Amino acid sequence: MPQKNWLEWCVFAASLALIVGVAGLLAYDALRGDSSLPAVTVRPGAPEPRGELLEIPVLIENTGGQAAEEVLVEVRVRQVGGAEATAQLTIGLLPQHASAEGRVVVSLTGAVEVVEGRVVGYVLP
Amino acid sequence: MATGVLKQTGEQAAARQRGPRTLRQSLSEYGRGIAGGLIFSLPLIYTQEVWQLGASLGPLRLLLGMLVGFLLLVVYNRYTGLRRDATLAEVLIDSVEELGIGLVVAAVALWLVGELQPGLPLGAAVGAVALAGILAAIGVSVGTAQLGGDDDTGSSAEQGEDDAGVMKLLGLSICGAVLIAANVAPTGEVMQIAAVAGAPSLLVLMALALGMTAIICFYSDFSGSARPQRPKGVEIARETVTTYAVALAVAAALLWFFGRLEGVGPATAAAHIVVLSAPAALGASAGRLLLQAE
Repeated sequence: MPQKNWLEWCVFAASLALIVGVAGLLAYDALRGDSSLPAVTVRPGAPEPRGELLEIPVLIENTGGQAAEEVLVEVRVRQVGGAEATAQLTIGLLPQHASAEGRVVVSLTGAVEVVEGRVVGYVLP
Repeated sequence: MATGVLKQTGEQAAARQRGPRTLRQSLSEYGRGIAGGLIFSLPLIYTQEVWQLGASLGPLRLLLGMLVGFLLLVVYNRYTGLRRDATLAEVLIDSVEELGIGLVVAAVALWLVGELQPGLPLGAAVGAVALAGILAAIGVSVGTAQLGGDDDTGSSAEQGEDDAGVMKLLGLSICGAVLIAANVAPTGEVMQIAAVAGAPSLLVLMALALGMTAIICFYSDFSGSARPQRPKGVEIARETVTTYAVALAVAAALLWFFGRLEGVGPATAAAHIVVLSAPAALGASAGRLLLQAE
């Protein structure tokens, strides 16, 4: 039996538990085997007036099994009178089963009829 | 076989005679280890690509990385660790401790730089910690053994003679190359340099790496580079080429691990490997010096 004091045995036990935990989580992730393509959805929130502009909160979610890089999102806003404006947002990395929040700004004022969001494209890592 | 048994028995007897360290000695060692872990892993932890690779590399590759990292720790601790008269059980236990400390160091550092946020998926968080933790663990091992005084070196001289050989040389060269090159391998700059540099520049880079390897190992008078009798030209050439070959192999393995060889042709892959082989060669040379310093 190696000669160690109680502190060293405690550090060893904690280290072993940590390694087993990390390796176990990675193994579980590997066995789950979800390697489906990224499934990115865009959910725009209610527009908020900012002077002569409209600021729109956006929630982007990836429910797929792979991460997506350079995710390009487009938000389209249509006013009651028919005027339209679009804005784009890029997210560097959206991991699998993760979400990100952002905001876009369009040059519109007044009542809004429709706010739509969609994914333009992304890069597979 | 008989020699191995005698040697093992001698090691165990030495370990029994040595007795446990004091708490103060243990804390001092852990402090040095944490410092080493931070020194060698902070450049990686400050790199954006590492945060992203934790989420995108995939669990199997990360598991493989942890396994290879653990084996490197065992090799390093066996040949150059703090207690060179350690038994195999002690080497394994020390390696587990160092990997555990490395994971904690990486997790804390990633949290401090804001890359371990509550909203991050568990898989991405574990991936980033595992990735940075592997390198931090090698840093912990190097810090524990190299940053401190020579307070518990045991029968290193006798053992050094017994163990001198190709495996030891290769093991320490690989450890050194990984330690230095792993900080550069995941960055996009390797690809950018390879894309801009033409074949003539890459050949000059190879020659430069070979030259630096020879200078560090044989002509620099670094601690460990001095030998009682300077080797002759053929031996210098043989050892320099071997060390640089290790650097090339480590560069290729690291680029594969970080997914930098996927989707590129053989010529482009070779260019990436040559670019990374320069820092890997410096690390491999430093690893050799650790061996020669004993």
